[in-house]
Amino acid sequence: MKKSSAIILVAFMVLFTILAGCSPKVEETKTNTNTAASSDSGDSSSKEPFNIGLAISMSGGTALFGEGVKRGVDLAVKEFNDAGGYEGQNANLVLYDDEAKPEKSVEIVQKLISQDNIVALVGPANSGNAMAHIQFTQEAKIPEVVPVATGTQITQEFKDADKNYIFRVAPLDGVQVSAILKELIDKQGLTKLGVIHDTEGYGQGGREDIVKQMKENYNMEPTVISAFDPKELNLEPSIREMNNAGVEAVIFYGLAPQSAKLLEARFNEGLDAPIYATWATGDPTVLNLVGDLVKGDLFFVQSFTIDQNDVAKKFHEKVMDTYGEDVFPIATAQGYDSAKLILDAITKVGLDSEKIRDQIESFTDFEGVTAIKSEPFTKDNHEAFGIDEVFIATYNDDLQIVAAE
Amino acid sequence: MELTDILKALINGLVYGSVYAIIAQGYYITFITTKTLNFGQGDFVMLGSLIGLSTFITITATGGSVWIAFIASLLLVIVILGICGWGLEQVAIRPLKSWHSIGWILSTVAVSMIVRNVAMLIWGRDVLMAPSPFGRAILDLGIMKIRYHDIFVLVSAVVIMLLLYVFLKKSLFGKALEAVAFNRDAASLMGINPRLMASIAFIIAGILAGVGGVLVGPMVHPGAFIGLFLGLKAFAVAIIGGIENPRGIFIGGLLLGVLENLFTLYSTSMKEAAAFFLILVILAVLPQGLFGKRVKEKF
Repeated sequence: MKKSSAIILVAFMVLFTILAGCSPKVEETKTNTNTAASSDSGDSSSKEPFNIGLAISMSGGTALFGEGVKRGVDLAVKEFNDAGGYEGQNANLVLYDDEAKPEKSVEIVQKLISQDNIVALVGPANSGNAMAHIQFTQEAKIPEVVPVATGTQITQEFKDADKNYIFRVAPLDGVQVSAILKELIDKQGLTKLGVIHDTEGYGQGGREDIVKQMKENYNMEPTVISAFDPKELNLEPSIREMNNAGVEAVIFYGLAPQSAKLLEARFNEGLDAPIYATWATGDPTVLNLVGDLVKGDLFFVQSFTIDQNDVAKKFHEKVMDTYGEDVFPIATAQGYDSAKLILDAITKVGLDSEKIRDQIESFTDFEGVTAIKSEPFTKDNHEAFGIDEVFIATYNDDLQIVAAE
Repeated sequence: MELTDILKALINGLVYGSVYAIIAQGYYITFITTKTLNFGQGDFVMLGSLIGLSTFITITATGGSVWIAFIASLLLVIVILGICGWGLEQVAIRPLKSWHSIGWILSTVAVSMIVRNVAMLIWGRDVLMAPSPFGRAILDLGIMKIRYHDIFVLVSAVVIMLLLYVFLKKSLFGKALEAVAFNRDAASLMGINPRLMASIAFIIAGILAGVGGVLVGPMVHPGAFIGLFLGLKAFAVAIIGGIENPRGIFIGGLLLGVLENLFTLYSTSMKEAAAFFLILVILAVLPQGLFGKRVKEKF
């Protein structure tokens, strides 16, 4: 009996070792086919294609952001190649999955730089991953455009360097807070604001931004602040706290799963005030989790909505035509603009990474699909989106994200 | 602080507390029979809720009614988690037990890690939406609102506790389990097979975890990581209530649920810290738990 259990134990462990061993392999083949697919999409060309890197999460908590960005970048690369590439040289997208892990991100970025000889990189979805690997792109003088990660520090890290190689086409945290406060205090004239935030990095950072900006810009304080553990199962107490304090609006700072819990708690408890949140709450994951609970009195910051202007509408149609669905409109749009910045720069100045960087910094005629300006960056500003480029959006009756009235 | 808030916190606490208590009974039943317990109980709960969720969605998607789907998922979870409980005892408890080691602590944790990783491969790393058979229906009492699912969980928990209690105290089988717990050698002489009883204890523990998972699923968004949280709370409940006292565990579960929800009236941020601080205080004053038997060590 004892022997047989020992055999079962060993068999069990072997089985699971095999199972566990399978997972990275699956991912690897997946990314390879993706790369192959995108390289095939280009026209046959006499010249060797050059490589553009994409290091983003195709699995893990931010996988949906990664998928959205990948589609946008793919579209931009395809258009570039269809238009003839750079003097007949096609762009080839090399995509690796960073699994939303900083250490993996460092590994694949180094691989992209040293083995794949990329001329430029479209960056990650997670701020932690960006902070972990930007020193390598900076050192290798490879321009990197970050399409999703919102941590304020990312573009600041090398601002004092001779040349900062890190750009961003995503609404950074501080700007999102400014946009919400501008809407609530300047526009609506509210004075009693409640804050609900998670107790991990994202929410803590948000809370600090909110308290600081309210103090400095408006000399106000939040009426009530409610923090919750991201693993917390029930957010009803936070909703009750807001109701009891009689706030006029709630600012929510948390990621998609917690946003879903908040909306369920709101449904169960009833909340007298509207919720204003960051773009994390506009993540389609929230919609998938709670369905039509997203409707009504829920607002969040966006840099792109499918209805914002004709360019955006056309872009949305193009995505629908290509993929049959628009899984994450804003991520796809920001991914598209990130890649387009690089490719437009290549069209102008060629394949030298340093020149590409200089060109990205000095565009005066850029045309993107998000709210990006024609002159997005300057030497001191590597953020495509300032307070004037982001706006407040909400869900319409068809559960699409549209600009709020 | 209004009265309805306190009432609402009480009810919320009772609902969550009763789930903790169901899960914690699994610790009790294996501890009395084998003096071991499954530190991965929480991950079995997670497994139960995810299997239940997948079954429920599959059946409702193919046109089955919600109640058929619910009962089918419950039955499937009972079978699978029962097998998991048995398997755990076979691979992680029995081979180590004979060495008089505490290696089972690590081996059960190891199994829980494996379960969590496999769950992550199957269901991914994101949280999922678990529909309740009651949908999102809410009972509006005027002064407060309660989800039907919450009421259902509370009632189910009481029924499960009663069934378990009757099973352990009244049935021959339950008495055999208790006999093994009381004196393994004497029970063995009376024709009770302690090994079989150990297996059965772990099967029951697995089933309790699974049922707990099916009940808790719609209250939370289940995902591969919820096990740790629930398992820890349930373990706390088992310790507060006195791990050898099923009634104590039930009361302990409700107590922890209610207390942590009452803390939230004061501050949502301090809820966890306050609840676990309370556990420290209880253990400092009553090391054997609130309802545990006071045993004097004789040297």
